[in-house]
Amino acid sequence: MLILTYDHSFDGFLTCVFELYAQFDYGKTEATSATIRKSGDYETDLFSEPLAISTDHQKATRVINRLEKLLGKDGVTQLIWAFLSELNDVENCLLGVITYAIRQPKQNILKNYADPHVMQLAKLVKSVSRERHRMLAFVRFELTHDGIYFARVEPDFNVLPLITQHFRSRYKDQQWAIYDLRRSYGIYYDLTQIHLINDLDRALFNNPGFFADHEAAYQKMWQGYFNHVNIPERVNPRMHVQQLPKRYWRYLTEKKLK
Amino acid sequence: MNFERLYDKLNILADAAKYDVSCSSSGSNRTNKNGLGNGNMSGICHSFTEDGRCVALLKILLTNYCIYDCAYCVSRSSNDVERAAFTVEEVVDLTINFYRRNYIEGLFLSSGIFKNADYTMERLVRVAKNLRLDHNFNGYIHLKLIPKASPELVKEAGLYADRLSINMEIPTASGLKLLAPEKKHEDMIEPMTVVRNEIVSVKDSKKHIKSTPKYARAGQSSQLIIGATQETDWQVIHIADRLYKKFDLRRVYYSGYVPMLQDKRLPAITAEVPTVRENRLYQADWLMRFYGFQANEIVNADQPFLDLKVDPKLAWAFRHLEQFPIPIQTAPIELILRIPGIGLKSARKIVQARRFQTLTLEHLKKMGAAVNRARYFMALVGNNEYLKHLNSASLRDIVIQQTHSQKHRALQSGQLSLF
Repeated sequence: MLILTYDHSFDGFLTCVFELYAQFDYGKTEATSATIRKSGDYETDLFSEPLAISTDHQKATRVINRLEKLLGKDGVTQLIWAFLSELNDVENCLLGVITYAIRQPKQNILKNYADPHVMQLAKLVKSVSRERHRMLAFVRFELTHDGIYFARVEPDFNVLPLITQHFRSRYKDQQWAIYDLRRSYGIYYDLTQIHLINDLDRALFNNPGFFADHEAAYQKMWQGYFNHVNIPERVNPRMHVQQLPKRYWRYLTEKKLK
Repeated sequence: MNFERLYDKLNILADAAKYDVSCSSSGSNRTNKNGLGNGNMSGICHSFTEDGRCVALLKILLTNYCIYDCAYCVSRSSNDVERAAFTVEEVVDLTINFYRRNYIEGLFLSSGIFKNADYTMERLVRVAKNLRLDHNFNGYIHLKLIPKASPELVKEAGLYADRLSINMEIPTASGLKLLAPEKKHEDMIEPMTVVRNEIVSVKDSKKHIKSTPKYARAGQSSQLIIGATQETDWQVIHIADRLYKKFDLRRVYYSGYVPMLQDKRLPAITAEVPTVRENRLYQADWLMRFYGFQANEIVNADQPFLDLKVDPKLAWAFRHLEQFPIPIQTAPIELILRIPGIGLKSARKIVQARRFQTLTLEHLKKMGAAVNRARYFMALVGNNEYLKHLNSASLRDIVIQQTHSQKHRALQSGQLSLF
């Protein structure tokens, strides 16, 4: 069993795919079985020695171009979205789909939902897309003293790259930042462009002086509004938690005080 | 700004607005040119209240002072509630500050009627106009139309609002006469007609003059109150069907009456909110809008009520066993959609995937179909052992027993999801 490892980047994964076909005749003989894992993420196995592949952007681009021909731009987008799930065996699913596409270049294989890898890809895309949509909804900005609308999030998947454009076109006339505390990076818009921010000091948020004067007043009004649009005769706690899972409450202005 | 007073007003006027169940923020593709906000075509629910409803918009009344005395309405003039009124500036400030913090998709503004219809309508329009023109706000705006408002104001409202709506409220004319003697259905139909005509005529002139401004791009909607009078489901579905066909409404909402007022014309204050019936009506509505069902296939004069125990599609299947089994491998999508347990998304997946291979129950399950219901109604290329029950007298019991246990339990305790 051949194990290739890569540096957790999408280009790294694509480089592995390139090498499989270029170096190891992958797909030519039925017997070749291979797996791609994130470096440091595989179980050590007595009989198989993982081979570390270093990321090569040119090779990655060649794979992307080929995949775009096979699956279309939308198909490649699906692969990227699934990849951002960061799940342990996502590579296995992606490799399965890619192998299938290369084997059947004339068919639009992404429509074959009866194929296990295609169906798994569809499910992963759905999960990531749900998380992305939740972030569009659940991001809560707090106005800082410096006039930046600042939000903290901890999404299940790495969806910041997928929400940047939405917030950029929506909030053009205000400075804003969204920081992923789980992955310790964020995006910041300074009225002209997006910047990446890294390793922010978390103590910042505990300082009340960090936020603007009227911030607390607007948060209180939103909380009041949230409680008053509820119809007590119809409370449905099960559904409430289903739609607003508790893991998001921490940064939701309307829920965090409870 | 006096935040304390504003806080109190907001609570009062949110309380008064919450019985309007519309929460949709979809259908606007408004773009943002260096201002604030844009439309999101599929809409975004930013939060969910404890009653399980979505919060997409800042839904408030401009005021809950009202000259009318409609029995079903919490703001009726004879009701002893605290009254308040926003200024135009206050609504604008709240909308913008909530929007900037990503709490909402926009504003849903309604109002009690003070002085007269036009006076009220004019103020609603002024808020929308102010947001659009003075604040370059491109988020979602849903404005309520006031019964008897003049056509000029209705026309102006659609220039700034994405969606317009006017609620029929009581489904029957006799019921409306009993509960709101000052109102007639015609008072609601008239503004609805103005909006429909305006949408059509703007679309027409856009073909010739490209710069014609869009009008109410998210269309119009309405609401029917369920269970405040003795109406049948047939009457409800029938009027919804007419609203869809005649006025091209995007949505009709069904609001189970919440007993909160003592009045001998209304259900007792101890009556239960008819949540199951409401849910069945939404399912029927979906069948009409997305599944190609005609209203009279769902309910009709002979069968005026929906079956509360099973969903309307399953109920239709039980009444039309002669249409089954439907061959999953070859039937057109319209027929696949008639199979209980198969929704829009799995139907689409089925017709795509079957070009590649022969489908089995296992495949359908993975695609997300409710196979435990669907398997009794469809033919596979191979043998389908469940079809032996199709003509058995106990089919109904067998299918109901097999229905997802969790959902069944929820149904029995009345804890239902709206959609």
